[in-house]
Amino acid sequence: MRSNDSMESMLRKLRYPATAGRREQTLQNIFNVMDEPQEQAPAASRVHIGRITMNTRTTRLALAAAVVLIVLGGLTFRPFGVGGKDQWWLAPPAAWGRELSSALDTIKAVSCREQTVFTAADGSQHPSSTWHLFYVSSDRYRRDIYDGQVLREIQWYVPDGDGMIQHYIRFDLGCYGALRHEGSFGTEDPVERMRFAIGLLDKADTVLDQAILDGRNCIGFEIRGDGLGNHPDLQVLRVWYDVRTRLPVRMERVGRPAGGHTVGTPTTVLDHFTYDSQLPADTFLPQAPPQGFINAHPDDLPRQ
Amino acid sequence: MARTCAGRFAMLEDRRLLHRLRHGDKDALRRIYEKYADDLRALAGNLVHDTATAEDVVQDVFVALVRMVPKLHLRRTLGAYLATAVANRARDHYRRRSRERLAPLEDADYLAADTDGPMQIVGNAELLQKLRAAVAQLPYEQREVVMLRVHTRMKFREIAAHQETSIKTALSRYQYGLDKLRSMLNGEVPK
Repeated sequence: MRSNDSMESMLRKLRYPATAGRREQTLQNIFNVMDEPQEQAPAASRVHIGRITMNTRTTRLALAAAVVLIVLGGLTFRPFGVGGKDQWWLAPPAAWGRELSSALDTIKAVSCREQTVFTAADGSQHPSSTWHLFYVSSDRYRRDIYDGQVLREIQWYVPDGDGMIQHYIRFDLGCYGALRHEGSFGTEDPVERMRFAIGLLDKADTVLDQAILDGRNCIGFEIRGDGLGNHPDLQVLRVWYDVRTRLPVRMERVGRPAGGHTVGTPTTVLDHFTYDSQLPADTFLPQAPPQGFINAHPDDLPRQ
Repeated sequence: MARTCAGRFAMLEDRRLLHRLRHGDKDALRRIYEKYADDLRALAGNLVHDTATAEDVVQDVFVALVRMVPKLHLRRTLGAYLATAVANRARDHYRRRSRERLAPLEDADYLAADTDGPMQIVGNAELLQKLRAAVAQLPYEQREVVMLRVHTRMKFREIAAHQETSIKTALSRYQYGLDKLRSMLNGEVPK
């Protein structure tokens, strides 16, 4: 097990100190704002509106009736509000959000593949050589990491008190070990990502054409810009659902070019979903390391 | 127990300072700035990777505090309120700049902690440079959790509320962030 203390201690040393002159200048700028006259809110008009709406029984009833009409009428008049049962995606977003969420609640285990594709300025696409297979159950996770066709590492996350123990075998380095994690698989959890997507579906600005993906008839949604909320790393989110099962079949998260090592715009693709009973029973049980592997963290191995 | 008492004392002091600030006391504002600005600048700097922008972000947050203070009713500590405000502004800045490449690293932008001796500062400089580059490579949400926790000691509950996510996810982002940094530094952080 490794401690966070040394890393936290190093991170605390990453300071951005200002010179004394700059600090004084900043303070002076703030003091100047203090000296500005404060704007007065138009309180008189607010009081007047309050009297109109609240001080007579008739207006209170009229206000209540208006609220009811807006709520009911808002739902009725939504452009999506024309779908039948077989075309659930044409129902109001809140309704199909519930349908999709309920479908997710029914699954006991899921596996899927994750790979990142970089799109260069000339439109050419470059899939990352490293890709993952995720396996998720109600309380356990597993991640297989591949370099091309070669299995580089398997990680198993198993519950341990309030946190999790991550067991790993590094086939490329010939080592194995365990790490303590607080919380769960977190942002890496495909099911959490699906729930995140469902939470945004009422912001979807495009319903994508129906498509056959992995042999399944799918309907897709696309969310862009402000609809993505507080997630600056994300430009576009597309999710395709199986029309019949309402379970996710493919998810594309278009990120932003980060500079540095990335070539073009990264799109993380989750696909090849397999649900429930098709997963072998021992999927989530950590395996014994192969003969000759040593118990060590990769960082602690002697460098070549 | 001592830590709890210190925390309560700090909160009481903040309330007194805010009360004085509401009545236009510039010394109270100076005291708040001196108490929090360094940590807030470190937070902003590590989120936006630019010294000048970090200072601008901190200034904007204090200007907003001055304008908001007559109506401000804190439901948490002043430190957490200011840290959240800095993180929000840094996030806005990151969004605007996200299509640009990150600025080249500047050697003079950071300093080792005052407690290090001169030789150790020199010895640490290279490692800090690498660490800073590694921080810049972290996914933004992980970076934000790590920096809010490390530089402002915000509680995971408060960080989760800021990121509109669960405490579990905030904890995971933190742990993943530290693990990735460790991995990127290839075991160079002293144990």
